Amino acid sequence: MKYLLYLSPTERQLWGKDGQGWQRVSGEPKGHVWVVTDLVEESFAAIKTPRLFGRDRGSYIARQLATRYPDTPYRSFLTPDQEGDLIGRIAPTRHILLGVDAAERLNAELDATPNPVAGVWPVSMLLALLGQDKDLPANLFVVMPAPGTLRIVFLKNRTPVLTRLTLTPNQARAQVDEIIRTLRHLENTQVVARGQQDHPVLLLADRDGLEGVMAAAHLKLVKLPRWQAAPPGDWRFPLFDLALKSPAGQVAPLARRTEFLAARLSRASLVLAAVIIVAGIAGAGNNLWSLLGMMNESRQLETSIQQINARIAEVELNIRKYEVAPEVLRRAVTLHDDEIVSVPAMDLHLRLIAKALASDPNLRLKDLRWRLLAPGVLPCNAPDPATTGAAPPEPGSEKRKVEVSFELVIPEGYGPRDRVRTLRDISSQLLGIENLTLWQDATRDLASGSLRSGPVRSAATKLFWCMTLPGIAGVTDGQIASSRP
Amino acid sequence: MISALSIFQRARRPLNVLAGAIFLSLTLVFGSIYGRDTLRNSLAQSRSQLDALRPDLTAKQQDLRNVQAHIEQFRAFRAQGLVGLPDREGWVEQLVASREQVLLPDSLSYVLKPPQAMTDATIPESAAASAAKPDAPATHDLDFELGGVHEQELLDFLHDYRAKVHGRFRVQTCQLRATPTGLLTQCTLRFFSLPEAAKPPGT
Repeated sequence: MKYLLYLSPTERQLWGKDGQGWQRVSGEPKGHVWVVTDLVEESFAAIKTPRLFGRDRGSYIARQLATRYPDTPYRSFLTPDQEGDLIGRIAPTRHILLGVDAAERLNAELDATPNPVAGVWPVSMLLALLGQDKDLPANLFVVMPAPGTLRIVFLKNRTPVLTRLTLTPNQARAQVDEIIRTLRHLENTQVVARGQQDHPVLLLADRDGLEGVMAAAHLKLVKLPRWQAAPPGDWRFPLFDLALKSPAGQVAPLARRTEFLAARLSRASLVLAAVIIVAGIAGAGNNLWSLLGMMNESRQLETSIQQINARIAEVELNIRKYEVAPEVLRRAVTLHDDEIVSVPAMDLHLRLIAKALASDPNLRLKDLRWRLLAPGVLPCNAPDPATTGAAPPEPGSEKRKVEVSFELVIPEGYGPRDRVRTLRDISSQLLGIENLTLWQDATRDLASGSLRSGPVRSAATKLFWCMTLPGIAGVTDGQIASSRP
Repeated sequence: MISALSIFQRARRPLNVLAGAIFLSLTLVFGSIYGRDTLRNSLAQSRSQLDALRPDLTAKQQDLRNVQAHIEQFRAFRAQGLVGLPDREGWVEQLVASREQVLLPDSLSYVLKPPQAMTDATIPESAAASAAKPDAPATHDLDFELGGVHEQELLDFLHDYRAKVHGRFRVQTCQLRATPTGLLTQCTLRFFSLPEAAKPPGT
């Protein structure tokens, strides 16, 4: 249940609201108490301020409040809707001061209330809020009769400018006279222009017998659309409901509301803390979910790494049993196969040469040379392709070769024709050897040289052959033959 | 101002709870981001480690298969002197012994040159790479000269030498020149040796 203390000039009423609505409460309230005053001392004052910002504007208004209401701390201000541009809304210049100049009464009442006070709202201000409804005219009398009294609030352009509480009997004629009296005052102070137009009146009471009298006085009754179908039994209840929402216009000093505001702040803090925790969990949820997935994957990876390491260790253990480094073994096998086993035997080449010379048993070898040539080494003193302009062999095409060269001695008794025939036979036999490349041919040298006889011949003529054969057993010399000069 | 302070003092505990909630939420959010990023980096490292280990395992398995396939051949290399410390003294002693064995004239002279890192391998790239290593294969050229022999005697001599010497070689060059007393042969035999410095892991 929420509690509201209603203070009128003559009485003090404690009301409570639960699921069944508002009802009078006797005894002590159990919770915060909202206070609504309905006193004669309530008043409004419109002021215009210079264009000030922030704390300057607040200080200026505070000084104005202290000037207008020097004897009461129950004062506040409202900022009505501003006309003009954005700067007008940011730094408003029109304000409504309101105060309740009954400090002693209010202090006494609030001191007598054992529970914390949520705030004090003048009923004039609540009526003004009610009259600011968009469906109502901008200039409006809000009238609320009470037993023996009449509260009149006038709004000009939806801004409260005047409030009165008069001792008026509950008679239609007297109430209308009081409204007319208030209107005249407004006309005299030039708040309202004089004229014959009808003035709208929102009457918060039973209107039986009033409409005719009001119409005669150029007062036009208007209705609040939301209460038109089912008006409340007591028009104070809508005002009480409004007060429970703690609207702007609260007039009690901060010291009176400390406990209530602290409780509100505590509650808001706890709610906000819960929201932040939930938001934090929600925000971190995705990351936490990813973390869980990655941790699972990390465990699987660790397991895989351990398994592979175990297998590597097992393989290394097996290798260790053979007491040999795999790299050394690989090198040894490569060395053996590439450098020793693959080299063709010299015997074979000697036999091939012997076979080529076997056609003439009178021939004698003077000098025979057999040597392995490393890849890229030019055989038989051949000119470098770079100097002759010939195309160099493709990279990687060079292979090890065997160079065989020999010098032949022909018997002295051979005539020129026999010599040529013998040399041609030998060259022919050599060229018939598979994969042999003949680089120097004595027959060719003889054909392009001079024919000599006597001691001069033997000194100047050298019968020399030089050839290459594949240096790797089982490999043909085709590539080399194709690139020979 | 005092009243405002009083409000905050009265609501101190819930405000502390709010501050704790903010701290907890921020810790949760930024901690989870930090943890996620850290674990992501760790995962990337683990993946790269695993990616590096797989070819390593494959290479080791290939090494094992290679060792199993060639171990007998390798042991034979050890026994023949291709692998291990080169028996340079034995090579020249056997040269003399083989000359005597095939009954050649006492005209043998020889020079065993210092070992050289291999530079004329069949595959130049591997030769260059292996020459840079301390346990690279080495060559030893043994030059010998023998006079008054016949071609067949030379071949028999080389066959005998190849069969008995504690080492593996190839004939690198051979020159046969006719002289009045027979052939003068000048040959170079190239021995190969492979130091067994590299040990298998763990030994």
